[in-house]
Amino acid sequence: MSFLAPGWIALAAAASLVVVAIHLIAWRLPRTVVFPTARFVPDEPARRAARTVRLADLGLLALRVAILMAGGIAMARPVFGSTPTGQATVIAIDKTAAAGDTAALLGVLRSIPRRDRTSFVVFDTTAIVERDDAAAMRSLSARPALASLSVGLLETIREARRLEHDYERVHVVLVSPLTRESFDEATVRMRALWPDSIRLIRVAVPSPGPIPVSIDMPSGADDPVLAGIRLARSNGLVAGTARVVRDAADAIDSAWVDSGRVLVVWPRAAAGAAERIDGVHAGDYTAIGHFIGFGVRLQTRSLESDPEPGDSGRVVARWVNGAAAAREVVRGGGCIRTIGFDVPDVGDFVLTPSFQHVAAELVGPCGGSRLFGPDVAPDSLIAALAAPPNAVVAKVTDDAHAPNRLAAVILVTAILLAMMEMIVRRQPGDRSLSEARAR
Amino acid sequence: MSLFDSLRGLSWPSRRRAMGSLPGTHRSRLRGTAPELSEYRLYRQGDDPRQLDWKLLARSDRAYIRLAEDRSLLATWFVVDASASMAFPAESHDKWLQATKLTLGLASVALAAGDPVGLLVAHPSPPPRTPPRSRRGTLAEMSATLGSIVPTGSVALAPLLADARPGVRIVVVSDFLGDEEPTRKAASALLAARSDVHAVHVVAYEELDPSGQAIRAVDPEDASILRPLDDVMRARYVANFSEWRERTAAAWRHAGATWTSVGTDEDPAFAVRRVIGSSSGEAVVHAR
Repeated sequence: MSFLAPGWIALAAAASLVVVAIHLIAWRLPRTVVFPTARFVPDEPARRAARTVRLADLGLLALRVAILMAGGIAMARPVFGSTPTGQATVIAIDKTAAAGDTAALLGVLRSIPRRDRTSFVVFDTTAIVERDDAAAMRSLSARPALASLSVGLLETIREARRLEHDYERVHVVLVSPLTRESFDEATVRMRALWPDSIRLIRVAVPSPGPIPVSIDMPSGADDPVLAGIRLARSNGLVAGTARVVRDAADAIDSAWVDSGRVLVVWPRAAAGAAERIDGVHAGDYTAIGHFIGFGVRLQTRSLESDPEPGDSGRVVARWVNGAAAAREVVRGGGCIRTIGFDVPDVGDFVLTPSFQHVAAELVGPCGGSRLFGPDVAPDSLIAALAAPPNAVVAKVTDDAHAPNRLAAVILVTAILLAMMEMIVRRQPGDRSLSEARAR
Repeated sequence: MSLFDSLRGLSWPSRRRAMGSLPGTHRSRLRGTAPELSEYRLYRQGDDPRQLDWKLLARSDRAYIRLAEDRSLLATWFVVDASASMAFPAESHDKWLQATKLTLGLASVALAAGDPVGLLVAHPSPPPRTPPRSRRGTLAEMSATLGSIVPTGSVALAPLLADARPGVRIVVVSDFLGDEEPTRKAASALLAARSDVHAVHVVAYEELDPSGQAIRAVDPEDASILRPLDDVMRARYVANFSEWRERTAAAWRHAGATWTSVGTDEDPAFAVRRVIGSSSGEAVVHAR
């Protein structure tokens, strides 16, 4: 049998020693006895107190010690089973980390100290637990999808909880590029399931190399949108190969998309269309200025509504009020990006860096420009991942906190002993005195 | 053998001449025409001529009349103390049981002689009072009355004695730890009125020889008396209590009553015989 909180036993033992000391040291008054000829006893203080230890006192002492020890054992939460010893390590490996230098990754893994037991959790959008290095490396060789730290943490913490039954201490190590995309809203809550700290090892994922920049667009000199895009390209903000059309797309444009490139359909606003001051988010950038917004029908739905399940499109830009401002639909090897706003012909809004960044995002590669370089999560998120949580929200596997019936039985026993002590404590001498005073 | 069987045939003569007129077994103050010759007296004018002793007249030429002693009944009152001090020890109430046995034993002896017996119990709830009777069932009534009583409270004995008529026999059964002096004074008054008073002092052997364990002794009739009793105090307690018993016995005897101390460990039949024996052969000392 082992105890989850052995400190309570020590506390109960200390309290028992105090009770024993009180029983042994305390001066006890003689018991009171009704005695009709008491008047003939000289009216003087007793020369000595009765220090004889009566058997009843020893029984009461034993009862009180039993109450304290039973209560302490119950609070210590006894459990059957062997006491865990040794240490274990759970290494969570983000599959996208293997997209870079594999040798470096191997070096990182070998540098992690191995203890009595080591488990590997290899994850991207799913997680798999491997028991040895070779199996873990084989799992890493598969082509990774965008990794989810939430998925990885969930399985890692489950494995750590399983090892807690057999090992005294379990260490958790996370090897990942720790990109922004790997975090989601559930990541922090998953992290709170593990009360101890997590060692983070960030590995770099190199960029795939320079991407050719080519923007094919009409040669309209008076077009402010095209001017803004050209300016962004000249400033090095644009990446990828894209075709920008200001009118309806034709067959040639379709062929462009089928060849694996980006087609940006950026309609012109109707003459006399109302302009307004508004803001558009695209990527990490927000451009606030004069816009001409209009609804664009995409087959059966408008541009402003979010994609329905199964729709291959995604919103690539939003108005500040959250409505979709641009949408991207994957087609074949490329994608078609439809823009739902225009800018006025007059004004220098397109010259602003914010508009150029937004325009660069809108003419960027399919899926967004982030594919061209890891966007590392901010330090605050990484720090939150490493440090122990302020409060453990819940437990993934709650075996250690299953109702402890043995502790409940012992606690009930302690309560029954306490009730018995109240009965045993009453002594016949005191009863006689109360009767005498009643008369 | 039961208590009553062991007392069968016992007689309890009065120490004084009874004042009753009904015929009984006790010497009467009245001189009458009983067959027993008591004395001769010179004939005086007015005497009954039939009492003249003619033979003595013939021999002595003087006229004498024969006088004989009459015998009469003697009512016996039993005044029993049922205060809290009689309920000792608390577990067995030995003092009360012994007092009950003594009372019933003496009453059976008196009833056997035809004397009426009455009962007065010093008890808080209306003190049981049974007027002197000699009919069948009197003893059973007394036994039932005493058996239903649990000693408690503190009731004075002296007023009960004051209610007794003169010329009767009074037996006070008590531990005399209450109003001993007023009771003795009331007894003295009765003795002066030619009553016969017997004091039966009931004492528990635990009171005579307390156990060696140190205790805090509390008086059942006065909780303010709380005294530690240990080895050091025991000797002085025994001396104090012994001195009080001797002094009290002497005072009662000086008043003209008999004093018999009975322990709870004593055979009640033997104790009854001692009480009866204390009244025979003793010179009556009138209270002064």
